[in-house]
This record gives sequence, structure tokens and C-alpha cells, in this order.
Amino acid sequence: MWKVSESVSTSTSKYYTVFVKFLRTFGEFLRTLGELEKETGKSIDEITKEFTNPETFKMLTDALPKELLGELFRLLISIATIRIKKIDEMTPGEKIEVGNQLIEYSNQLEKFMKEVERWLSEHAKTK
Amino acid sequence: MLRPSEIVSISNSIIDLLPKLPLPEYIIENMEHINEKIQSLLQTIALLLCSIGSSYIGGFPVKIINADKLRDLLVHRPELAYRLEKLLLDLVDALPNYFERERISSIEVEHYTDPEDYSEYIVVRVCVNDDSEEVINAWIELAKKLIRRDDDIALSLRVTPTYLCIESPKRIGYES
Repeated sequence: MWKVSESVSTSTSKYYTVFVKFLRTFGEFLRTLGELEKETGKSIDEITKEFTNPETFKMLTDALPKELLGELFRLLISIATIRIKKIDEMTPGEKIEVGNQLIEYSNQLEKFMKEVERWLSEHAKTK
Repeated sequence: MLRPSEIVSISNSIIDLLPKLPLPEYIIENMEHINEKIQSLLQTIALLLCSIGSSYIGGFPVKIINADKLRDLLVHRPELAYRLEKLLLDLVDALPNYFERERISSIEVEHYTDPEDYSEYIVVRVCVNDDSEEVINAWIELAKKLIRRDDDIALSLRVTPTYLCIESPKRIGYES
């Protein structure tokens, strides 16, 4: 009877898992990006420039309460101080560590944005 | 239904095909792009903090003293901007574990030029409302964890009673 070596089938299966995860994540990223560009009529470079423009931050610092502002700066600095080397220069441990950090900060940023939306809607109601 | 030999053959074809796709190069190029954006974010935050002069990081007010000089220094030394921001981040994350919130009035970041040799460095000053022995001992323990051996040339971390801080209301009142 024909038999596939167990180690070959395990490594092949893990290789596919990486590939599938990459395709899904990259697909979701592209789709979100496309939707944003379609909605705003601006390219991602324009959106990024706008986002990192000190004037935009200045507007945010004027508008947000100190608790949210402090959290925004803490998150932005956390993200900005992650050191990402080239993938082929990272050890497996570094990839796992940076990957975990990125996932953690994306969760925190998502939570923060919900807080901002909640604050904005409450603030709009009181006006 | 496919025979085992056909499954192996298809699987091998896919495995042969994957490295030929431009995906690894694509990922690497994109990561470099993302890295550039992250670095530009780092500079933006540093310059922004200098231009607005004061803000909040975590639960603490942060005030920038001599902001124009600090901005000039950080523009030319991105590595120092990185270290400063990392130190501020570690500081605001660690402070609540060492002190009750009301013991800290603010954090000051000051650009300082040595009057003798004109060397420039940055002082990060935690202004405390209470300079009891208990607070000082906790501070010594915390500072040891935060400051790195190579920081002492360009970056200095200090604790100061609030009334001696640059932007303390009392001191500003006294100087004016």
C-alpha cells in the first residue's frame, strides 16, 4: 500500500497553512484598502500622508479628552518603536515576537478606535 | 476520486510552483515599505510633541521644554528620537506600578546644552508631588530598569520635586 511519510506530510501541511494565512491576511488588507480608497477617492499614499501630517495630529490633540489623547500617543509610540527587520534577516524567535506585538497593537488600536467612536457619539449627543 | 499517486503528483507540482511565485519578494518589499512608514511615524510623533509643546502619553501630562532645539536635535538624530520615545513609553507603562498616580504631577522633556562644551542632551524629568524617602527609593529601582548604559551620553532620566520643575506653577510664578 502507498504511504506518505509523516514528516513530509506535516511540513507540507504547515507550509500550506502559512501560505493560506498570508493569502487571507493580504486579501483582507487589499480589500479594506480598496474600499477605503473608493470611499475617500484618495490613494493610500495620500491617505498615509494625511494621517501622518502634524496638522491632523494637532486637530486630534485639540479635540480628544486627555485620557484618549494619552492612549493615542501611547499606542502610536508603541507601534512606531517596533523594530521590523527584513524578513530574511529575522530569526524565528524575532518573527514570533514582532508578529505577536503587531497583533497585540492592532487589537489595542481597534479597541481605542471603538472608544473614540463611543466618545464622539456621546459628545455629539450632548452638543 | 484521485489515486494516491495523482495526489502526490499534484502536491509536488504546487510545492514546485510556490517558490517561483513572486510572493516572497513581494512580502519583503512591502515590509520595507511598512518599515519606512513606521520610521516616518516615529519622526512625526517626535516633531508633533515638540510643536504642540505639551500632550498626554498614557495617563501622564508630558511637557516639552526648549522645544525648537529639541526638534532640531531629533530631526538630525532619528536614533535618539527612537530611544527617547521608547524611554517615554516604558516610563508611562512602568510608573503606575511604582507610584500612586497622584504623586506624579507631570513629565518634562527638556533639551539641554552644556554651557561648557556645548554638548546637547535630553533630560526626561518626572515631577513628583512627594519627595519622601519611599518615593526616592522606588524611583532608584525604576530608573535602574529603564535607563541603558549607552543612554548616559545623550539621555538623562531624573526625578524632581514638582516645585523645582521648569513648568511648575510655583516656579513660573516665582520667575515672573
